[in-house]
Amino acid sequence: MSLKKKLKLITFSSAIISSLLLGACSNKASSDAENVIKVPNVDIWGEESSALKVMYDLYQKDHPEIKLKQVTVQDMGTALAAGEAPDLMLQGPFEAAEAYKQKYIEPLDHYYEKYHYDEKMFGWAKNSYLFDGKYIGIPWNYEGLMLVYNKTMFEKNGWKVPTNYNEVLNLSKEMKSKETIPFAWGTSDCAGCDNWWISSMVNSVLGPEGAKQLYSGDKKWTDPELVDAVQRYSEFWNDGYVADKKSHAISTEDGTQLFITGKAAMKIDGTWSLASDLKTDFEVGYAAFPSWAPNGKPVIPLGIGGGFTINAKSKHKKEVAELLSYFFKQEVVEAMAKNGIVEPITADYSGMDFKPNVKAALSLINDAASKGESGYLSYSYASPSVVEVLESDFASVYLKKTTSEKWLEKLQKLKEKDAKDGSLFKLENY
Amino acid sequence: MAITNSAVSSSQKVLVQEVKQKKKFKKGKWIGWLFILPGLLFHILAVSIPAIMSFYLPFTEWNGLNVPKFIGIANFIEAFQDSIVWTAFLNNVKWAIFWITIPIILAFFLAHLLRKVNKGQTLYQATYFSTSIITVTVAGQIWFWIYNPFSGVNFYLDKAGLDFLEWPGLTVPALALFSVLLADMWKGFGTNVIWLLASMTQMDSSLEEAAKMDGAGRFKVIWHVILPQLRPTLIIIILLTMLGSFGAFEMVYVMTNGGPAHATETLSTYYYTLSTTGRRAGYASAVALFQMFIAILIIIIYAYLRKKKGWEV
Repeated sequence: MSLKKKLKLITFSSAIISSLLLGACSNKASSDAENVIKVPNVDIWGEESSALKVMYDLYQKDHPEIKLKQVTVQDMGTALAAGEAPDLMLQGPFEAAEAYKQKYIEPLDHYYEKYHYDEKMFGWAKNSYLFDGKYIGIPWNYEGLMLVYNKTMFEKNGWKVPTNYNEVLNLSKEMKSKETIPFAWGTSDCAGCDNWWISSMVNSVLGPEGAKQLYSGDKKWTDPELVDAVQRYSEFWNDGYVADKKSHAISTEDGTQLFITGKAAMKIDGTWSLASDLKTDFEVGYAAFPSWAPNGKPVIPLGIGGGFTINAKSKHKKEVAELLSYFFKQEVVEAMAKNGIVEPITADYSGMDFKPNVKAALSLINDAASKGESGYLSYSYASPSVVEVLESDFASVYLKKTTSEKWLEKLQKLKEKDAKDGSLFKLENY
Repeated sequence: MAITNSAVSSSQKVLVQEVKQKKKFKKGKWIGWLFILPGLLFHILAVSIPAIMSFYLPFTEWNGLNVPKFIGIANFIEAFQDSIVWTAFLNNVKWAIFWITIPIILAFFLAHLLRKVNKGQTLYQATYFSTSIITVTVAGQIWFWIYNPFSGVNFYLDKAGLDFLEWPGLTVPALALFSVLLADMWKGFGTNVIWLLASMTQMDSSLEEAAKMDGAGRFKVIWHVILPQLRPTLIIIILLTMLGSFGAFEMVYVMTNGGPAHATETLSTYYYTLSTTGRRAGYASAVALFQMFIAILIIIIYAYLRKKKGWEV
């Protein structure tokens, strides 16, 4: 090969390599330079998160020079480690705490002072993002678990909404005799959803103060009341009252279909589901989920579904902090509430036009909270290792792979491990 | 013997030629390296470095966000005591046993029958192979719906009074793995049919004819004539199937995600869950390393048997 040809070949190869390398860098560099702020996609949680659009639109109108680019991130932890996380993030409290420990999250104390995010915020909600003396996030909603039931079917059969375990059991027996599945439920695509039952059991059997002590204080997962409650659930499930003993083999959507088609009379669900209307040919009723204590009173577990955090490596922290101040504007508060995803602030909803289901559910929660009959969701307040098992392994109990006692002993050991690691939610923050 | 001038000059010429060739070869090598450099760089960054890291991470505690903390062999001790790891390993063994028997035997007989078909063979091949090109997500979802106890096949069998034909599907944990395997077999065994069919077309048909003329029955022909000729293909299929079985992930993830209660858990689904939602990338790497050793063991056994038995592939 002649020298001229060799030189051409070397030049050509170098050009290809250089363009490949530069191409990888240019996208990031150009987006930083163009005043582009990366924010979560409004579809991140389906209809629930559609209120984000209202916030973005309001901000964009006042700041046309800034472009809000919506991104979808599959795993925020991976994105943070790779330096590809958006400027504004949506993270749960424990996730945010872990990220803050690794200096991925910007503390927001300065911005709380400047924009008064907490002017109307519930103290307990604000404290869910307090870590190491710093406020690291803004809670975006509070949510609760409730009983959803076929009101038309109940009225037709003269059934009363159950309030405790004894009433649930008797009603379930009657429903089964009429070939109606008492509870619709499906977990093949959401093993973690079984945790909702645990949250309800813990709060109703131990009471709100007991639940608090269980997650962060001296109460143990091996408490006899809890062992008994979990065992009764296992028996309840094995008697066929929950999706006819097939909940583990169908998806959450399949479970919902059982309810919508009238094959099942009740289901446990969260206020987040109010955003998506259930298309039924019967009236849907909402009530506090019955106490799992034999003669107890219902307690509605509440918690924070998630919150906003600012990426510590963002080059637009000030702009993102200002964007977050729009979250508290009336239009956004209303959009969130209309979807059943209520911001954890004191607000006057009386003038707002809500869908009947949202109105009913919000009244239920407000009523329970005012009477001291609201508790604490386990996935918001229990420690990380405990939540990991609650959200992956409860099926082992009702499918009889393990006993209630052994399973709860495992949870207690994990709680003790998390206590040593300093991962328990602080009692004073409740 | 006197060394003549011409002898010296011709040997010198040979030497010069050799040196020139060597130089040309070296220069040629440089050009070759330039061509493979982009791909090599990508491989180093995306494959080699993570592979090297995978030998370090099992000895650390790492949640994916913090700096990995060295903890020695604690992860391996935990894995040894973790009942879910052993459940998953056993499921992988069951997966392997299933796949190296039923689908391969079925594929063999199907290929053997297809070989005799003259008209429409391409159509048959396309039909059997068609399920292999469906994505795992779609195939898994189809079977998930088939197994739905409230709206799937069982529902209609029950309505027709044929409930004795019902298959529990995913409702009975003890049978859930087999149900997932059926779905996986439906999707994947067409590939084995094509491989075996292709191998059969390369066989020496005169041996078969000779055996038949000597009075050998159908099964004796298969056992003594066809199978020995198919041995190289069968060995490769079995080896790849074994390796694939210990890496089983997609169909399980789509249909059950390792549930119910870890009944369908495999090593891959377990360390996937550990490293993502479980935030225990160090421990997950230890489980993955265990899986890698199983794969190495399978290859060593294959290499040993190949040498010992003189298998030629």
